[in-house]
Amino acid sequence: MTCPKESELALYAGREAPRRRIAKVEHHVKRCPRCADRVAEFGLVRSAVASSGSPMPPSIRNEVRSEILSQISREPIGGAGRPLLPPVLRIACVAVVLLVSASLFPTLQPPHPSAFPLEMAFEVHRAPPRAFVVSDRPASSSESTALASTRFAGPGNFESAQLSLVETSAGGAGIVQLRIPAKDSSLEIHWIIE
Amino acid sequence: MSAMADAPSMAASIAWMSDRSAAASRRTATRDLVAAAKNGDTAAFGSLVDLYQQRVFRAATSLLGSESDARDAVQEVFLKAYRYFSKFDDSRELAPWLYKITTNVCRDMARSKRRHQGAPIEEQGLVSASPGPFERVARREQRHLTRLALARLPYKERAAITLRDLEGLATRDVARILGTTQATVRSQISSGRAKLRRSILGDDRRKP
Repeated sequence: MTCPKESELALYAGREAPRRRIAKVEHHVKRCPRCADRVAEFGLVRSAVASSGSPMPPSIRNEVRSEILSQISREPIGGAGRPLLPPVLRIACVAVVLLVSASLFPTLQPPHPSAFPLEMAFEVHRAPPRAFVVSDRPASSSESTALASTRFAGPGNFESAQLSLVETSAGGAGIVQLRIPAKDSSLEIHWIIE
Repeated sequence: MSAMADAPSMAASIAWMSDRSAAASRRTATRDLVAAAKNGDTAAFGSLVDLYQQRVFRAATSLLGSESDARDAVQEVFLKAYRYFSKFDDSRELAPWLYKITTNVCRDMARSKRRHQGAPIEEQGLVSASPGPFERVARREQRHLTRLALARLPYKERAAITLRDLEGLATRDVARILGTTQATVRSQISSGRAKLRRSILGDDRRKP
């Protein structure tokens, strides 16, 4: 048998390869001093890594613990993972913000279709900040959290806004689809709430 | 009154249960602490910090190459865990979830350090060998060299090797924590080990 590749010996040293492959490499290593040396070297590397992490000094442990506890005493647990409002209230808030915004911009002229995607974002000023994104395509979560200011662009003269809850997860987060009949009737807006 | 008023003493008892027969009760006790912490019991969360901060610190020193950075990472990991605790699935083990946060936090810290200071990670904050008994100095020197070598690896290889060789996790668990496949983890480990061997033991250019 020819010598196994270095990568195979590296995995063999930590027994990470499939069992049958390990047996094959083992059979070779027992007869090849050069490969046996290489495996021993990988063993040394593994031990060196295993002892490379420092134990945490007790003084630092207590210090870090106190700092963590002092910080968390100021906020509720799971704050970032929990929606601030139940879904129904969130939809209601969103609807109010939308209608107010639409009424503030009644005279905007429809732009040329190339001005799409239409984009609208709102920020709810409560910690932690959340942003709601309206665009003509589903937004990713990073987009929804990256937007931090209230912006408005796109065709105006919205006559009415229809809001419906399309999908929710157990935690209350979900996708709300928003349909705004505008001059361009092909426009359909997806409102993503993270 | 807190539902887990005796949480610190519970943590102490958990830490002392080291034999295999006690593993199940240790898991149950940890699960109780997690449940209490999820209900807002900060004492229980503090006990979880006591139980896991050592492991988080050890992994972070290997991932960041610096004890002072690792200290900051530990703080950040537990603050993140606290903030996202409602997303943690109680039916799972806490350690892999914490390791996942640790690898993400350390990756971000390593990136921002490179961006803001420009110097390679290995040139900053590594433990210097202070005078002392020969053995201690030799061990410290070896640790120093290993950290230098680890710091030169691409972050994904460093994370895979740290979780596997330092924390002793199975390849399957490493893949789950890093959000990748076992085959990818094996490839990262073999490539990382080969580079470490050359860095730590020198490259004799000898093919096996």
